[in-house]
Amino acid sequence: MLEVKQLTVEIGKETILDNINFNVSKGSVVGLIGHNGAGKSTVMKTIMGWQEKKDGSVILNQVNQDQSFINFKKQLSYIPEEPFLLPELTTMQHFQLYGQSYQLDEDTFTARAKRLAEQFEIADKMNEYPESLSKGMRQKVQTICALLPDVPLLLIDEPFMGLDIYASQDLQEILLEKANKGTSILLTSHQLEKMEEMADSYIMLHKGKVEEEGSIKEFRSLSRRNVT
Amino acid sequence: MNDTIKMMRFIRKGRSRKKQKLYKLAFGVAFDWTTTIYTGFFLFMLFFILYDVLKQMEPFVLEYQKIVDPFLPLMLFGLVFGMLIQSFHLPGIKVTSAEWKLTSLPFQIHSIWRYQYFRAHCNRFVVISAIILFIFLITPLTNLFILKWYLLIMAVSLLTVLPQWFFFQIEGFRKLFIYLSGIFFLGIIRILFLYFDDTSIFLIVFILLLLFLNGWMWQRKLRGVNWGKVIEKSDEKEWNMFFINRMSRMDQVKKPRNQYFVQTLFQSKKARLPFPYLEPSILMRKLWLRSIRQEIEGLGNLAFAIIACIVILSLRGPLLQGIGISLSIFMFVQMMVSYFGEIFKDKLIHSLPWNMGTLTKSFWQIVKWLSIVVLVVITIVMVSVKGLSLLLLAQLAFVYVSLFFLLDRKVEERVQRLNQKWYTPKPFEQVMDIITYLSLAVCIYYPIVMIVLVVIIAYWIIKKHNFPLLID
Repeated sequence: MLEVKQLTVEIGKETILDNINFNVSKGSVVGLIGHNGAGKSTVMKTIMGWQEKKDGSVILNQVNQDQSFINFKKQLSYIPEEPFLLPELTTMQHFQLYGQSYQLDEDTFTARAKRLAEQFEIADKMNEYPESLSKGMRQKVQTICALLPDVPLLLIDEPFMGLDIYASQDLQEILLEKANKGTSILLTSHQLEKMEEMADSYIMLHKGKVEEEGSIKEFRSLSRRNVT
Repeated sequence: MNDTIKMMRFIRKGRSRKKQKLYKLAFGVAFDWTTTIYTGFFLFMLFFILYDVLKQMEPFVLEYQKIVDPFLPLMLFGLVFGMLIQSFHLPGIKVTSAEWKLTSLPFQIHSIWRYQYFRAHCNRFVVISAIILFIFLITPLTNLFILKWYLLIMAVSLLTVLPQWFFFQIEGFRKLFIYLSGIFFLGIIRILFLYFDDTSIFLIVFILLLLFLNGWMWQRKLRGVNWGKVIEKSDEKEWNMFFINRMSRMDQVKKPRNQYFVQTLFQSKKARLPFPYLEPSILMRKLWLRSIRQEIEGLGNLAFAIIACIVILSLRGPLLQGIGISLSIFMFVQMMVSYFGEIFKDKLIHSLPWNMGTLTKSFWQIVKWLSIVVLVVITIVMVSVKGLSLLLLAQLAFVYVSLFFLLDRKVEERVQRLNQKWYTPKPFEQVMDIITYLSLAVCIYYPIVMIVLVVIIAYWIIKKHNFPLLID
């Protein structure tokens, strides 16, 4: 599935990620944890191609990010910490943009968009522009966009940030259902309880290096030591 | 109200201190002590030189005063017209985010607005008085003339503060209607004014009308206010300091353009409806237009550069005309390819798996029209300079095909680069680009080089049929 090999990222003279190596296998949920500034978001940004690598490679199902970026991106979708919706498009038009980009057929798209919009209680906001939505609503729209396609990998940065308790619960259920169907999930979260409930394994970053990694059971004993 | 005034003064002092610091820093970058002393001395001398020159021109100035005086009403109409135009961009009364945040404390927006309304009047009063004082000091214009103009300009300027605020809040076609009605009304007043010998009564009626308008608007001043837009524009006006931007190079940083007026015109109910799902190029075209709208300034500069280049060089012989055409096409192609890359910088678009077929198709739907405009300009210049002939038609055909060929080549190259980090075009492709630009440069002087057109078309057809771009 996802292979991150010898990933090094430098911004100016500062090394943000230093020789990071990890894998995410099919259907697994991997939690990226660490203090603020540990490099979690940089890992996400680098996988998404926003952050230039100094060294290393990111490979998803044998597709190298540097060699075929479009095919690489077809296999993943991303839920950011802060929604980045376009002010010119309504909620439904955002869904359409995602549906068309991931080449979902019209029937599948319509059924999924309707189901997710109802589940996240935004069915009455389909023709609204982002400015007229609350931050939580915008986060819901962004989340639904990423959940529309069936992709092998979901990248999620702070998935529960800005969502109400019911939406968080629904999202957690949807993510676990996706994982059971074979979707791999790489997520970052400061909500350690949620992380423990969802993840199978963890990768702990510290000052841009992988400090520890293992199964989530090992992580529970770590969290009792207040590592994060 | 007293507490509000105290707080507003406190904010203004803080803001002024911050601006002073910024100006100090910017002046530190721009001037050293020696330059400052020389510049100060130069300005001082300039003032006296100007005074002396104007004194010597006294008869001319007084003659000019006689000619200008009857146009005072026109000047006042101009001020009202200016206010209407300004109301598209600025509210006239600044309510910045700092003032708005006070509403979360025990301060009322009504009081804050009233204070800012008063400040707007004070600012106009000071600026107009300073300008008039300067004119009074250095020009030999008569005191009566200056006083009359000063009082009337001041009255109209102050009476347009509230209408500018009021019109700023109106959106869409309603605003356009008011604007056109305003121009129509001013036109009628201008025609009526031609029939009056004594303009003083006319001017009094005009000012009374403005007073009446202010009275009517005062009751409605805070109804349906678009605070988001007011705050954004006020912040922009408050902190967009030309000198500091120049010194800190902030003027070179692009900022997204919020075309509120245009947006509201087209954010109709229809614009909110979903797009036909099976025609993705419609949605993509909207995104391309958004991207190009953000670069509209660059597009204007490009148009100016192309016209200047082609016109100036065309008048200097056939060789330079060819070079002008080649340069214009080079500029256009590079700019369009740069626009093609812009959309992918948007975070949301970047995060999507790009459907390159749809993206390029919708991009071409827009760029073909821009290309046609450039080709029309080139055609007009070439026909004007050389006159219509069969040879010219062949040369034009060569230019048309070359432009679309180069554009297609460069867009494909960009697509490849977006997909493959280490992509470099094949040497043959690079040679084809160079040959095409060189042939364009000399095709007017040596028409024989147009034979390259056969190679270009053959290469293009073979490439499209046998080696199509397969990325999706």
